[in-house]
Order: sequence, then structure tokens, then C-alpha cells
Amino acid sequence: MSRVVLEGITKRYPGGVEAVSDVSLVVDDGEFVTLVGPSGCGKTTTLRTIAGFEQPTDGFVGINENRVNTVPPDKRDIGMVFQDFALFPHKTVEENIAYGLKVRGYERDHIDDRVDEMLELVELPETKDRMPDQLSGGQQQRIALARAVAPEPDVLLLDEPLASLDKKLRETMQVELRRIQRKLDITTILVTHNQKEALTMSDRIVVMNDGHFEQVGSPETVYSDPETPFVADFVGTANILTGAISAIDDDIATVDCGHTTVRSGDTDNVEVGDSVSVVFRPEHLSMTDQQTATDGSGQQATTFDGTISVRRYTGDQIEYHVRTKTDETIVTVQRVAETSMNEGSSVSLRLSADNCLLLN
Amino acid sequence: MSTEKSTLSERITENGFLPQAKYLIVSYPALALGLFFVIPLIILVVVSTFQNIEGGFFEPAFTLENYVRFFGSDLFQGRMIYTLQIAGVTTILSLAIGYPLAYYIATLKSELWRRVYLSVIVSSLFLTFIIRGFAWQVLLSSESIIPTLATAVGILDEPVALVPSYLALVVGMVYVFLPFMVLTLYTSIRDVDDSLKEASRSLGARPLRTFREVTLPLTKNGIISGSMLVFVLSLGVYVLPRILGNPSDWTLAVLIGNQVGVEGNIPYGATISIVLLMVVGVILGTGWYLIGGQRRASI
Repeated sequence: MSRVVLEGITKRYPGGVEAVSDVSLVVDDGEFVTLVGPSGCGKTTTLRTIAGFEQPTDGFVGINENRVNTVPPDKRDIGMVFQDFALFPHKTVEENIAYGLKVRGYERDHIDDRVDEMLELVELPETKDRMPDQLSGGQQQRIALARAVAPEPDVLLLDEPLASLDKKLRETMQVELRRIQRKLDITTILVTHNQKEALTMSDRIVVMNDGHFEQVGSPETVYSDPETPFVADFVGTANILTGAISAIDDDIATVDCGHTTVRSGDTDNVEVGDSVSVVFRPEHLSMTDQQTATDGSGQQATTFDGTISVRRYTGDQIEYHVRTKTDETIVTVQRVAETSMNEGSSVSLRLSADNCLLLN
Repeated sequence: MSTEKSTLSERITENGFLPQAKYLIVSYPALALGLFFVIPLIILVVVSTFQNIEGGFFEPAFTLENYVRFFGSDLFQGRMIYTLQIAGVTTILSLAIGYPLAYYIATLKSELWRRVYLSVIVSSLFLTFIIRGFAWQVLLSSESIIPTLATAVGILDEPVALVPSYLALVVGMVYVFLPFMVLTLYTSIRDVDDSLKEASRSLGARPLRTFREVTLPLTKNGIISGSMLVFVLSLGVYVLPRILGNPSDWTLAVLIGNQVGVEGNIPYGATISIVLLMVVGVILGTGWYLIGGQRRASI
């Protein structure tokens, strides 16, 4: 059982800057959890606290039920992959992977077997005798991973390991990393600023902002049911309007957002008079040209009329920015096969009340 | 492709220069090197084969007499070995004191403090060797603070002058050359990425092991460069042995000075210089081989 427990972790730097404020998290055995957030949100500090490179000002850090707050990194039994890979430039690939095993005092034969096993795992047996600077970025990444997991650590910590790779390679490595993590069944914590990476790789996502946790949940939950406007905006693309609830009838709330009135079916946690953020995803809007549009806002839907101000073709989809008559910009994506309109066209966007979230 | 008939525009290379422009550009460093290094060196070699005439004169000749004299003389060979020895001692002590100091400064978190420490170290270079040599002469004289302190602590029986002596010379030389060692090592230690040390720690290596396996090997080139620099500079010391040492502590450079200035034997002075230069050459060559050898291995 390799669990990581954080309880009320706070990290305050001399000078009063609070990088992490009172965060708690339990990462279960074999689970893949991603800390995601904008730069400076405290995600790296949180990871470094688990690694032992930072000591928390307050709170409890536990690995395998043991309090490790002041235990130095070399006694924590962790594996870590760094953003710049941090392969030892003066050691061969073999020596790099063997390092953690050698330090732990394993026998030569066991080390040799384990190194070969790790090279098989990352599918790079031919690089054994090379120096790190003779490897491509993707190969260095794999060797760094092999080195980190070779001593069979309790926990694998990944600090933006894919950030320096180009997009194509990054996507390949996302799949690879997940494959290896599943195969080894190792408790893993990933730090990234890339929300797409977080969504595709993790069992659970922790969205961080300004030193605290905004939301912890499965990728599906975080995307489809964000708890705060920040999460909605950071994970994926979201249209966010602000307004006040003027009425709730038959589980449909009417929200008055300045000049626009929006209907939402998300009425569980709100009351008439509440100030709310209205959140809806670009893919939930259907678009028609204005001539064919049916009547205006019905009870079950909201209709926005406007003109296309920006059109971005992305291959399988087209992203439109629609400027409404009330001067708001709403982003929508449409499948290429369904619609194709030009900038300047008048269009009508329709949003079903079911797809419109209200956040306090 | 007849070059004779090619037009000017054909002869202008892509970057807009005439092809011969490169010779002009290279000629400046070549000229400076030739004028200030190669030609004087040739003159030195030639003079070293000249015949000395009593009274500070010499006449052109081609004789190896001076070299025969040098390699046949126990005195001069003894001085050669002594010079190498004191340069070696200075280098080892500078490294032993300099590495921990450079490591401490290089790993300070505060950039301000790093700069303060470096400035202090560099500022000692603002004064010439001579003034610093005399400063040590005063500090080590019988009535001054160091012998008094040494007596109080019980290292000395009574406050005696520690200068002139071998010890005083070594202290003075280490003091003078330490900044070169520290600055070279500082750069090299700063170049070792923190994440490499953290990677080592995360893999289970304690701080000392991390130093031995990661920091030390990665600063090897700095250690070699710093040591070479201090060793070569030490081989040429002239002023310090005269201020802080006994005549028995005089280095080859002092003897060269005496040959030229006191004895008036310029060809023999040139000969000793050439021998010293060759020793320096061998040391530099070895150093470059060691650094280059490592680089080749990593390619």
C-alpha cells in the first residue's frame, strides 16, 4: 500500500508569500492524480513538499501512513521525473538507470537485470551505452522515467515532465507514461499546467489556483460539473456570464445577465436573487443562420443572436466567436461537416437549459 | 569557370564581402599574435643560443652551451624542482581552501550575498602582488598580531618573526592566487544544475554521496582549469619569494631576473626562460588533454 496523504499543508516563504494554503488530499495506492493550474498556483511547491525538497510550514505529509514532514528526500523512497529530465550528463544511460539501485546497495547481478528490464519497459534497450546528450528529447524523457522507477519507489512524482517536448511527441508520451504507470501500478502524482494533459492522463484531477484547491475530482466531473468559475474557465473552454436569478419555475431558472436573459436547468443550489456565474461549453451551442432560426428564448432554451467576429478552422472543427447584440462574445465550436459560415455572418446560437450551469 | 574573366558581382560572396575580405579579418589577430608573442618568443629562443661576453654584452653564435650549463648545474636544476614544488603546494592548498569556499558561495540562495562574497574576493586583486606581499611581511613580523596570537594560543613559545620563511612564502602565494582558483571553481559549480542534485537525492543518495557522484565529477574541468591557472601563475612568481622568502626560497623567476639584472648574462637568462616556458607548455598540454579527453568520451 503506497498512499500519499496531505493534511492542511501550508507553505509560507520568508517574507510572507504563501505559496500553498491549507490543502488536503489523499492519493490512493496505484492512483494517478494530476495537480493542474496556472503558473504560480502552488502545484510545484505541493509536489516538492511531497518529495521532501520543501518543508511545509504547517500540516501533515504522509507516505504509507508515516509522517515524513522533515524526512529528507533520500529517505522517502520516491521516484521523480523533472521538467528538464535531469539525467546525469557524465553517466551513460545504463549508469543513470542503475544509480538509484547502486545507492540502495543492490548486488551487481540484480542491478544489471533491473536495468535491462527498465530499458525493455521504456522500449529503448539499444541506448544502454549511450550518453544522455546522444539521446533525443523523447528518449531522454523515457530514460528519466526508467531511472525514477527502477528502484521500485513507493510514489512516482512527475514535475511537468512533458512540457519541453513538442506537441506530437508530448501526446505520444502521454499515452506511454500512462501505459507504464498502469503496468507498474505505481501511485503517481503529476504536475502540469496543461489542462488537456490532466484530462487525458489522470484518474483524478486537482485544479489549483492561488495556493488552494479549487476542485478535486475525476476528469469527467471536473469538466462537466465544475464547482467554480475558475475551474470551468481553466479546464477546457467555457463561456461565462454573470447575472442574478430573477425567477425559478418548474426547475428552470431565469437569469438576468444585464441585457441578456438565460435559462438554466441547474437549480439545485441556487435561490431567486442569488448572484451567479452562468457557465456553458462551446460544444453545447447549436448554430443556425438567423433566417432559419425559430422563435427567441423559450422556456427550455436560450437563444443568442449575433454576428461571427472570428472564425478559426482547426481541421475537424471550426471555432466561432460570436458577438451578440448585447455586446458579449460567445465562443462555440461546430463540426466542420455540419456548418460552415464566414466572418460577418448573422447567426443564432441555441443553448439548451440542461447544458447551462449556475455557479455561486 | 575562368576566374580571370569573372565579374566583380560574381566574386562577392553571399554576405556581401569580397572573398579576400576574410584574410583581412583574420589578419588583425594574426598580426597581434605574431608581433607580440611569436616574434618575441623567436627572439628569446635565438638569444638563448648566443654567446655571453663579460660585462653585460653578448654576440650572435649558435651554441647550446647555455642549455648544457643549465642541465649540468645542480643549483639551477634544484631551483627548477623547488619552483615546481612550491607551485604544486600553492595549487593544492588553493584548491583545498578554494573549493569549499567556492561551493559555499555558489550554492548561496541569495544572489545579493553571492555578489557580495565574489566582490570581496575580486577586490583583493585590486592591489598589486607587491603591496600584498609587504602586507604579509608586516602581519608575520615578530611584533605583529599573528605571532602574538600564535604565542597566546600556544603554537609558538614566544613571538618570533615568521618572515622570511618558506611558510610565509606559501601563505603569501596562496593568498595571492586563491581568487583565481575560487572564481574558476565558482563558475564551474554554478553550472551544475540544481535538478541534477535533486535527482540524485530523490534516487536515495545522501548529500555527501550526491556531491561525490554528481557535483564533483561535473566540476572536474573547473578543478583542472583552476589548478592549471594557479600552477602556471605560481611558476612565474618573482616578487613574493624576494619579499617573503629566504634566498633558499627563491624561484626560477628570481634567478632569471638575477641573471639578466645582476649578472648581465642575457643569453643564460633567456635559456632558463625557455626551459620554464617548456615546462609550462607541458603542463598546459596535459591539462587540455585531460579536459578534452573527457569531452571526447562524452561525444
